[in-house]
This record gives sequence, structure tokens and C-alpha cells, in this order.
Amino acid sequence: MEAAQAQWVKVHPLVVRVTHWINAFGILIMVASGWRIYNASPLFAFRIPNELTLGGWLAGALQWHFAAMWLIVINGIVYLTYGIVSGHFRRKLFPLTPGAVFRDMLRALRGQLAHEDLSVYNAAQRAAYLAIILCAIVLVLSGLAIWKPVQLQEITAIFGGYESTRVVHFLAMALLVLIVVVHVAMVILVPRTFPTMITGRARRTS
Amino acid sequence: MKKRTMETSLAGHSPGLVRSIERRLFLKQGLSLGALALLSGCDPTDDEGVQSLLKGMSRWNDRAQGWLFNPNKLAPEYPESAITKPFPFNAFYSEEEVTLVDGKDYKLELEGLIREKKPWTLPELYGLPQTSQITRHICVEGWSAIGKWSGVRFSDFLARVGADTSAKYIGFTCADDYYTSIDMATALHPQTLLTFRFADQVLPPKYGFPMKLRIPTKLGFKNPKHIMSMFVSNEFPGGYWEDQGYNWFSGS
Amino acid sequence: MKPLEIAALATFLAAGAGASAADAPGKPMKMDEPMHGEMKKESMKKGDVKKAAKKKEREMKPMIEKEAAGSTKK
Repeated sequence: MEAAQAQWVKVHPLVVRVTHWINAFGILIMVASGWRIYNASPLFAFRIPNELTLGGWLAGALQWHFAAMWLIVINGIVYLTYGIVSGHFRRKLFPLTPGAVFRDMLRALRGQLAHEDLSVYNAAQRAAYLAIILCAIVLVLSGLAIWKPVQLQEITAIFGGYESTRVVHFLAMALLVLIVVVHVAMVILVPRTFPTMITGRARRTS
Repeated sequence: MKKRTMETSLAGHSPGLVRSIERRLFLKQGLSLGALALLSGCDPTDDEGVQSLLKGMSRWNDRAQGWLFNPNKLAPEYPESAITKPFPFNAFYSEEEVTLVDGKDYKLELEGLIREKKPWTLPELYGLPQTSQITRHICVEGWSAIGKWSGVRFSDFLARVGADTSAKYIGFTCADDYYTSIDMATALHPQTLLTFRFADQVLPPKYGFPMKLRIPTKLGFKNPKHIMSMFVSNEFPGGYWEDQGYNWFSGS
Repeated sequence: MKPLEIAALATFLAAGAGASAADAPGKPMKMDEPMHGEMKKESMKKGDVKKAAKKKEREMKPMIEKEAAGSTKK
């Protein structure tokens, strides 16, 4: 009888769902085209297989990168403004203590994380989502600094000049990709979370 | 954990149904991931609609960069000790195929919206007031290198020949058949130099003898080498790489 | 000299000339070869630039001349 009288709880507000999927699409374009741009002058002793990249050649990749740049920046501003003004960040991502993050990460590794209430993030999730936001901010700032090392030279200087800004941009990308891989793996392990990012609702199960 | 909660919510249903729902959810997940992989794996860049969208965005970026360009903002200059040695050679051909221009017969041709179209010989150009800069050359490929260039301030040269500086573009054609063009605001920037010397030596062939336009506010491919002629115009001249898909403004 | 010695000497001289000219500029551009550098598309040949330059000149030259003639009349 429980199924018939299911209680639905609101998990993700509309703004968060819309910006999440626009962001997922935008980040995919930025990463795949960025890898092609990286290959034109690799910073490290490896290249990204061209099959994983977007654009077909350097100019094509640059076109994608500097088109999707507008998408993720505008989308990011909407998301951050909403998150701060509505109190979404304060409610969902905080409080956050290193001890709790460590404890929940261990639980996640043992497969013991609780997901009864999908509207409440555990500490490992909070840390991961906050880290993604910070990575994205560093990526946008370092990206602007590489694009405009004269007009925006003050930002380039913060990262230690043009060449070190390229390294920062790459490392922030690597960290973001790592977190996204873990994020997608967790969604596959707990598939119930997937439709909630589309419908915004979840059945209360506890 | 997942299973237990599933069963709680689907109490009364057969375990088979629960498993089938789980399978379906997993499939949905997998499919969406597959779609993502496909998007990056098979390149949609060649699609006509995508092409026109990307070109449109590139033109929008030309405009945005034009607005962002501050004519008084100077590119950072570096000490002699920061100069990159050896300075990289980069072109669409090999170093041994570098075009040799005969300096004795050389004449810079001027066309378009310029009052004094008399061609300039090298001694005449060398006789103009010269200045130097040590700036970072940034390639669209990503790498950068610091070099020292000397020559005449381009805005001084344009004033001297009576160029119409209210026009939009200046185009360049080069001895190696390369061609490009820049916006007037960048042409008039105080650090845009018509250079004849590199590292205090006469510009060697590989760096663009007899003359290279050095623009520290633009990417390397917007800095033409072996310049043979230039013109001022309101007609958009494009450029070799620009017409292939590289962003035209390409400002730093 | 025996033919073998001539051949050896010729090979030696050719190799020497090749080595000394390896970095010296001024060799004719091999137009049918793929372009150098990382800016190119795989299919691009060095000769493409010359072809594009000629086409561009045909397009731009009349426009520039007409424009310049118009401005001096004013």
C-alpha cells in the first residue's frame, strides 16, 4: 500500500536542474575541445587521443571552446547567483567539516552511504560539489587569463604569468574531470538519484 | 542499501519487477552516457548547421574582443634576461623553405586609403625613428616565447604616409604568399611596431626579413613576416588562417 | 677513379651539401607536401596558401582600387 500513497519530496529546485544539464553539456564541450587545443602544444609528455576530442583540428576546437565559453559562463553566473541569493548553497552544502567529509568518504568506499533522503547531501557529496564549483571558478578565471594575457593581465599575474596560467588551467580541468568521473560512477551505483535531477522529485523512502 | 530502499518502496511487488526496474534505470543511465561519448567520439563539427553556428560565434567574439580592447593597455615588457633562446621558428613550411627576399631591390608597396603611395626602400625605412620592445609572442597553438624586436612605431608610419586612420582595416601580403589583416585600433596601439631587427640584429630570414609587423596585443599568426605590401580599407580583408576558421581578431 | 669510388664520392658530396643546407633558408617550397606546424588541418598542403592568396587578390584588388579612387575624388 505504501507505493500507492507514496510521499514525494522536492529534491532539486528547477533552476538547479536546468543549470545542471546546461552545465553538463557545456563542460563536455569545453573539456573535449580543450583536449584538442592541448594537443597543439602539449604541456606534458602525453597527448590526448584525438578520438576523445572535439573540433577535428585546432581551429575547430578553438571555435567550440570560445563558443561554449559563453554558455558555461552565463549559466554559471545564473547558478551561482541563485545558489547564494536563495540560500541554496548555505542549506545544501553547509555545514561542512573535514571530519564529516573523511567519515562519509570512508563510508562511500565501503558502500555504506545512506541515501534515504535524496534532498540532503552527505558530507562527501557536499565536499565534491563545492570542489566542482571552485574548480569551475578557477577554470574560468585562468581561461580568461590565457585568452587575454594583455587586456586582463592582472588576472594572468595572479596565476604567476602566462605559462603558469596554462598549467593551472590544465590541473583545474584534471581535478574537475576526476570529480565528474566519481560523480557519474556514484550515480550509476545509486541510479535512483538520476531521475531526480530531471523531475526534481524523489519518493520518500524512510 | 540501494536494494533495501527499493524493496521498501516497492513493498508487495515481486523481486523480479524490482530487478527489472533497476535494470531499466541502469540502462537509461548507460544510454545517456553513451550519448555523451558519441557526442565527443563522432565529431559534429562538420555538420553545416553547427558550422554556421560556430562561425557566427567567432564573429561575435571578434566584436566582443573589439569592445574589450583598450588602446592604452600595454602588453607587459620583460628584461633582456627573460628572452627565450633559441626563439622558435614557426610557419606552414619548413625552416629550409623560408623565403629569401632581396633587400637591395625591396620596396614596400602601399595601397588603398593612403595618401602617399610611394613605395618605401629599406634604407628609407631604416632611416625612420626606431624603438625597441621585449614582449611575449603567444602562439594560437598555446606556446609562448619572449623576444626583442626593433622598428618604427606603426602609428607613426601610418601618419607619415597619410593613411586614413578612420578606416576599419589594414591588410598585409607577404613574400611567402601568407596574408592577414588587423583592425585599425590595434594598428594604432603604441606597441604595434613595423620591425626590421630581431635581438639587435637585422631581422634574419626565418623571423621575417626584411620586415615583420610585431603586435604584442595579438596572437602570433596575426604578426605577418616578409611584408611586401599593405593596404588600408573598409572592406573586410580576412586572412589565410582566418578564412580557414581561426578567429579573426585573435587579440591577447 | 673507379665507378664505385665516383659513386661513393658523389654520395659523400651530396650528403655534405644536404647537411650544410639543412637549415639554410631559400629552398623552393614543396607545394604538394602537407603543411608544417600544428595550425593546419591534416588535408592542407603548402601550396594551398599561394592558391588562396591569388584568389584573395582577385577579390580584394578591384574593391581596394575603387575605394581609393572614390576617396581621392572627394
